[in-house]
Amino acid sequence: MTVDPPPFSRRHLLALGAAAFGTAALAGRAWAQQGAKPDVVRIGYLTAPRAWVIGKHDGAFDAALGTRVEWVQFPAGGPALQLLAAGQIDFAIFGSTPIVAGISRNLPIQILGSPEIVATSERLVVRPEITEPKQLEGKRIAVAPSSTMAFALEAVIKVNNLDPAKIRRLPLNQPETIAAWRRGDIDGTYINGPFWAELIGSGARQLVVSKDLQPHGFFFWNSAIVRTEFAQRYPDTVVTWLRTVQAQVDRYKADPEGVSRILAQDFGAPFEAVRDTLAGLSYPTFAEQLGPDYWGRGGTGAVTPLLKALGDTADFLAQSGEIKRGGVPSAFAPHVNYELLNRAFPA
Amino acid sequence: MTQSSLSRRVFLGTVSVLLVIGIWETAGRLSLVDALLLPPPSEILATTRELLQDGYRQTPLWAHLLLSLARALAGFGAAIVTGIPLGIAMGMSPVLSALIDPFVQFLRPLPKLALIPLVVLWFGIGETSKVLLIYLSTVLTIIVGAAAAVEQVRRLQLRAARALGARGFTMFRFVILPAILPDLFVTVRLAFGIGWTTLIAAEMIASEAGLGWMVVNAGAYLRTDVVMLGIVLLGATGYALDLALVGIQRWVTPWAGRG
Repeated sequence: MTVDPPPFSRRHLLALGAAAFGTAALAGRAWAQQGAKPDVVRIGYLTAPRAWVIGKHDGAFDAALGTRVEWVQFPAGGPALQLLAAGQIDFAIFGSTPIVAGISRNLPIQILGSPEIVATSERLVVRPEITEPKQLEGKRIAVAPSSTMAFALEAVIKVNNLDPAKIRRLPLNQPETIAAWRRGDIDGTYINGPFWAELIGSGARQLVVSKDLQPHGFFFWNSAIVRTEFAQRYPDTVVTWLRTVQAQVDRYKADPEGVSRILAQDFGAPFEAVRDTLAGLSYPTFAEQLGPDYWGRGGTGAVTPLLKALGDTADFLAQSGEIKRGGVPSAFAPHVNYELLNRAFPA
Repeated sequence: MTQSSLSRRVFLGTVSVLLVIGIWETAGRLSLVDALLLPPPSEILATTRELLQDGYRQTPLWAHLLLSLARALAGFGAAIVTGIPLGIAMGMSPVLSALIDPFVQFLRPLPKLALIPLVVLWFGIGETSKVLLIYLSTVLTIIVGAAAAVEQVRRLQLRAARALGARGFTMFRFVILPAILPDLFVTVRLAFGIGWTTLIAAEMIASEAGLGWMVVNAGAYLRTDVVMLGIVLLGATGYALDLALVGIQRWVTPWAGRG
């Protein structure tokens, strides 16, 4: 694989079924005129209640974008990368860890800010007899693979100077984690809401919430992502999409209970669990995100906190052998589309 | 198969594989295909070298392969040991068959992925659960195959043997067993294929190593090169084991296909 920036001028459609036999078809699409509108906008979203997805419920995105919108669910960041690689979705909002993995593989995507910052929505919960991080040594901790939680657990180990070799980290998805907890197979888990509510309800102790790690420079968040090719062809749509996301988050901030109630119905989840999960994220506005505490407005070469956090995440992934060191970009700023962010939310 | 037709077959197979690899590599070199979607053979080779040296996620490549083999063979072995006698017993006894068949037919078509949450709840996240999943996916096929093989023994043959005084074990050892062995081997080969494919599902349960786990984990990080290497290893190992089964079959049932 070359390390040149991927060529944006063409898009490949691959006959995946025959991939192993080398049968591939190439389709180059013509460039659209400036101001062109796509026939359909495909938005990927996590199979979990998220405030901005309220716009799916009443067609707010269809109305704002003036085109047909298709919503595509994915269960985690890993599958989101696969959907983006296959060109099956145009936009998505998901975790910083898989995003770094994708960029390190030259996946042609661009970061559009961070509308959701993990505060208390992800927590390290443990058996009640574990009262301080030092006691994690010699224990078995479950964590969903390729998630922000997996990285957060590593951060807990680093921040508390624990011996990483003494902590068994078991890759388990959330439903299996609950089952393993019940059987006593694990001593703790770094897990997202609403799952921790169930564990704490059954006697687990909450040891760390992700927000506690922020003073140490560890940030976990969900970024908005656009396929690079889509952003180049339909910049106006991207600007409108960003403003629409902000509008949905504003709706949530104005009426958290009401929005939670609707999302709970859509997801078939209990109202309290949805309300608490949504409250566990913080929602800086895009204007705030473009300030010096998050991304900055670009063009200055400054390594703002979230740009630095992307680099740290890449280091962690390379160290654990998930990504190739050689694939990590020297700077992440070129992978943030500051131009469109600034256009959507001028200073 | 004669010697010359066999070598001709091997020759044609080799040419076809080399041709596909050549086209694949050329497509990658000419950037006709995005390397992210389909890494060329040269990149997979480079990844192989890298993983042989450093392992994947702190585990050497051979350990991934061995662990997967051990899991698959343990589940598969247990399935043969329990499934074949039970299947034969069902084939010989209509009562037993009627009693057990509903459970077998209910469980057999179930996607084994759906069983994962239950298996974890009942048997935990250790090796037992992984082996059990492979066992479950193979044993049902073996039971059905063994029972069907017994039912297909020609009645004329049985009656003739009985007329000649064969009873009980003698009947089983000298009439039924030789008649069903070729069919049993076909069943076992089919079951092994199913068991090997279940490896991925089995290794989704809290694994930290194994080829199936490697493929799933690497996929989550878009490491398509590691995914392809895992697929090649899974395929090649499955192929080799099938060849071994065919070898055993020729040795054990030299009469197969001549009656």
